[in-house]
Amino acid sequence: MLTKAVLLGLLSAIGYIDNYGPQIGMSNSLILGSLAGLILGDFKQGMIIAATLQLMWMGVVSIGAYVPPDTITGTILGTAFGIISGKGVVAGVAMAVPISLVCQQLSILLRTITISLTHKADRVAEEGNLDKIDKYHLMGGVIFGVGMFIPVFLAVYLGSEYVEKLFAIIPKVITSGFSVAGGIMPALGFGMLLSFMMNKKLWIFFLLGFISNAYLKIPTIGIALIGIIAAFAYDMFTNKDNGNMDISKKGGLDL
Amino acid sequence: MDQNEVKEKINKKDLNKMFWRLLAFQLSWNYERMQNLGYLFVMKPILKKVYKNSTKEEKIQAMKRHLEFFPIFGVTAAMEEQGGNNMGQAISAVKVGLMGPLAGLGDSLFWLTLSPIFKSLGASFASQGNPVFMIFPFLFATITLITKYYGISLGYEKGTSFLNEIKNSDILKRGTTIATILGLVIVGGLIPQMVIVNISAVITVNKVKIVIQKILDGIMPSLLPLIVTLICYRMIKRKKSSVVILLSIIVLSILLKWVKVL
Repeated sequence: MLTKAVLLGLLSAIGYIDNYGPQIGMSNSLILGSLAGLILGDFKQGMIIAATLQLMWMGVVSIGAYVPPDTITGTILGTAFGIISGKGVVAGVAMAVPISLVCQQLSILLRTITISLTHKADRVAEEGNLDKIDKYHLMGGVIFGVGMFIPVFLAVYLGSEYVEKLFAIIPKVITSGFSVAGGIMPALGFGMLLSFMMNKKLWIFFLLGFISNAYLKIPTIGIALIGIIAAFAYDMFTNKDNGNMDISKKGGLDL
Repeated sequence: MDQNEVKEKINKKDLNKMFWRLLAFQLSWNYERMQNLGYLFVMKPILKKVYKNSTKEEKIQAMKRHLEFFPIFGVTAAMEEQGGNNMGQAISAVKVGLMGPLAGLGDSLFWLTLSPIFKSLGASFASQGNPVFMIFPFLFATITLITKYYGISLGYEKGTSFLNEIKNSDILKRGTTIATILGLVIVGGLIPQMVIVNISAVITVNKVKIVIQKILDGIMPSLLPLIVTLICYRMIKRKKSSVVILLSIIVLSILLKWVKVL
């Protein structure tokens, strides 16, 4: 379990650094969850738990200064404990929610610690020394990486056996309730999405997608293609008279 | 002004350096001034060149300016090159002025529309145990990387007129509408597949068993998933916190399962 705990801790550090850095997809819940599954020897279970968590958290996005529940540690530990306990999605959801809330606080603490880097940089700026800037900036990556390695490592290394026992004592009513909740969770993510996208003019397209699958049973990629056609058709009809002319008149963008 | 004459021009290589540094932009995110240090980190290759032959005082002024608060890269690179400290105040003003609208645009198009589309598609495959899902997060990342890369040179070449151009052409508005429609169709299509709610209660009237779920399916397939999603949507619209909704779903599921409704 020591090796696995170290690997999962590293996964958390990588996820965090990616989130604050290149954002190449390594902080995505699907990727983190399936890799956590791979580390624990159950890739498939990992991706299935991750899919539920991804949809549950879809509405949780960091905008501006708001720090959301920590989906990175939540996904890694939720998936890990789901697999370790043998209870799958049920345990995944049950563990991921409280963990993400605790780690949210931790993440706020780390973002407060990094203030000291800014103050160090202020001092370097007083000397006009540009070269030292890199060091202080990149140290932030170390703070976030180490700061998020530790809780995941400790939770897996020390917590695994208790998680197994915990889910053995929890009454069946509760665990089967969580299993129902796991099925409903995606509704929260979709509801959140609708709150960004829905408006008086466009709601009909939501219905189009729903009917395509509920009645016509068209699979996901087919629905995406219908969506693309609908979107461009709408654009074509609404911008028939002024749209294209407007762009040529004003010069448009050389993209 | 005399230091401006010996200054070297910013070239493609410098802008590329900015791009690579942009990939580590937020590593020193902090509560006091957010990405300020990251901003200076990304601007460093430009400042090094522009202030190569400047006095110490000028370097100090430039560094302090960028440690203030937050980011707009291409545009400020062009301004540093043109005016350096003479334009100090203007550079700070542009940063503050552009930050709001640009961050808003980026947030609504990328993080609130495109990212969820890719995430939903990925989750749909992952829940079926199909490893194809891995494409989607990386595809989205590729789009953002390309945008960052071209955003820097676009900002540098067009300067502040860049924002006006975007505002005047309706290309961005149309792009957002297209992405929104695509998103709505996909969300609508994923609800029947991904949201699972079934009533398991059976009522017996005169020894005839009535399976409620069958009646609901007769009215409309996936009726409950649709209703539950719309309830979540209403609650979010009424500014209920997502954590509260999350916990309510868990508590209600346990209760309804316990009384054997679900």
